[in-house]
Amino acid sequence: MTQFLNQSDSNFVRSRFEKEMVEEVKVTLFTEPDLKGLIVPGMGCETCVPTQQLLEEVSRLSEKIQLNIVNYKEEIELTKSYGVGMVPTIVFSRDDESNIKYLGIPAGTEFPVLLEAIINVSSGSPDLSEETISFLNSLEKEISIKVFVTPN
Amino acid sequence: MAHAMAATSGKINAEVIEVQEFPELGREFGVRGVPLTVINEVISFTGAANEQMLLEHLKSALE
Repeated sequence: MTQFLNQSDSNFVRSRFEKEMVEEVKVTLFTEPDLKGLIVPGMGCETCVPTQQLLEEVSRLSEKIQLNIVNYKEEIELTKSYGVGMVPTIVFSRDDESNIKYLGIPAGTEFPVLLEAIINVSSGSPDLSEETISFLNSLEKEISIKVFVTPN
Repeated sequence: MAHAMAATSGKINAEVIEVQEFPELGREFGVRGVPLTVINEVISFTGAANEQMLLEHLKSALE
């Protein structure tokens, strides 16, 4: 199987993880199992297997990344408790929080989103202005933000 | 940016959605161009959101 990351990509990502990660991060992929080529185009989850492969490559680049693969059809309670409705969905957390998700495969131009999510969760201190941080810390109600993207 | 905010506050639920893989969500939220940001399923705007812009939209979502 071809790799998503070549040697130079891997070196770049490994060095960013070494410099910027602090705490361990749980990367949980909700997915369906590999049907061994039985996928009919337009049916089933075409990106589940490649997403798992990409996350396996990335998680090998830092011992602070703990990758969990969850079959959403079997782990129904867990899937529900993370608020996951579709696959593939990736949840980034330090403990068991589930407020940071990526739906789909974070490849191509969306790959930086994957890196930043891992680094931000790990460091717990994203590069935000004081105004933003104080606003976020003052929140009493939950706010949902959905960002729709397409890879190029 | 949305993920960075969610990493700062557990009150922010941030989802990035690759819309080609989930066209039904794209239809539900009327996605015509990307990136499209939707706050509390009500406020939406197209185009790359910088921090200040997103902050202003979040503030107005609370009003």
